[in-house]
Amino acid sequence: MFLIGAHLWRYALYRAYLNLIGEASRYYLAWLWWFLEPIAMTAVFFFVFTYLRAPNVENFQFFLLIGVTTWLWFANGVGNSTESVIVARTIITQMRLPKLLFPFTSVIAASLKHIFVFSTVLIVMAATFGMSYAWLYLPVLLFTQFTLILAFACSAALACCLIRDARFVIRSGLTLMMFCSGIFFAVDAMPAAYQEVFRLNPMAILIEDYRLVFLGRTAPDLLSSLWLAGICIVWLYVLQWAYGRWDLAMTRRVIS
Amino acid sequence: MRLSHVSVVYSDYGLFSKADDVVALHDVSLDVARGEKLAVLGRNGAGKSTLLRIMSGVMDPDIGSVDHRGLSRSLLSLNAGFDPGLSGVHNVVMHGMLTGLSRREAMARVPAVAEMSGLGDAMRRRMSTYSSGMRGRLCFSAAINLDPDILLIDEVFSVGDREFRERSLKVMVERFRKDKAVVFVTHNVNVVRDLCNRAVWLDDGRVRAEGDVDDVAAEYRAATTQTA
Repeated sequence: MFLIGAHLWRYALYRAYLNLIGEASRYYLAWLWWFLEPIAMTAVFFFVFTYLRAPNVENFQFFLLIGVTTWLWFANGVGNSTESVIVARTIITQMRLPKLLFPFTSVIAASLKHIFVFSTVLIVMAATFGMSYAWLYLPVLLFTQFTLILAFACSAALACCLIRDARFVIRSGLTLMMFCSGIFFAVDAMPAAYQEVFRLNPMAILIEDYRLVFLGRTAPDLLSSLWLAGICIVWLYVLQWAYGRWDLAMTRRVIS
Repeated sequence: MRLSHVSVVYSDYGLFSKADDVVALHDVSLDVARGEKLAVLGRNGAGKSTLLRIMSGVMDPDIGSVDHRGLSRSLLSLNAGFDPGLSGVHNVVMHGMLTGLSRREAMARVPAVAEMSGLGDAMRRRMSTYSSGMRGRLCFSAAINLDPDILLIDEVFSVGDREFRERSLKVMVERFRKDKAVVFVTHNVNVVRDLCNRAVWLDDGRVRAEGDVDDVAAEYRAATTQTA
């Protein structure tokens, strides 16, 4: 099986499902927050950029919705994974398991939540603009984003476990990535000199691709997307080696 | 299983923290033979839990070596890696899945665990609502249903009511009859006297005495009475 054993993938999936149920039961509005969070974030950006700084973007609310939902999947997956190994202390002191399991579980939980949110986005887009053949490219984009989230999440969890101070760097890095991912502006609208710099951020490329599919109704740059997925998969194998190499060091960090 | 000259040091790290290393185990050598029942006695902080982590393979020693000889090991302790945010049923299923069972197989274990723990309907409640006794009963009942070559038990009888303690001791004795090695960590000498055939007394991470249970227990008791 990919990176961890099949029974551990099954565990991660079931655990992620239980985490979501548990998370929903802690709030009065329960699972409604899965939808309210992206709606609230979209509304805030819409207010700020419509009334405080008029954007020059057609269908700005949908433009924002795609950016926000795509970003939140990434941010939740990576953010929840950062300390996933550290919070698994009671399990780690009990049995020896591949520690990749813990960021995987967090990413799966964020992905299950995104299934609901993304389904709603599909319905909204279909109702507003109608369906398009370009939607056939969506599975590739979703797969690429999933591998990207896994790669970032596992890197963050490893760094944060070995050097706890890394969480501050990761948090700031996520904020920087958010502002540089083109959630509330089109990268094309940036001065040409900056566009290439912004496109170094893989989330900026992915958000652009989703917008091309939904709003432009055209094919995204499939080759760059597949390249990105390939790099992430290779990086995940490097991480698998690194997790094995520093497994006992991670256990020590978690225990002490 | 053989531990040779095992030492474990926990280190603090940080720019402004003093280098404050804690020696949890110091030059510990032990053999556990097939079918042997070994008691590990010692006060809190003596290094007992670290010894079990080394034996279970969760950690490796800083110095020395551990030869498991390919035997499967299961660590049974009060926290057992259970999540207080989940129900007893879900925790038992998760625990089973982590040990390699499918969800269906893990689910099939739930009635036996419910019966053994005597938790009944409370199995469906979140574990955060359990008393420490109920948590101990659930952890013990979930772990005792596994069948490892070496069972490592960490202070599980310090909680729970008398009825459960007697019931779990009965189960333990049945297990003890089998060809399984058991390492039983406790600070309660009375619990292990009838169950174990050898004892080790750990103090400040060092083996202070090793041998017959009654002799080691007497030495341990004398030392703790003296200190008190």
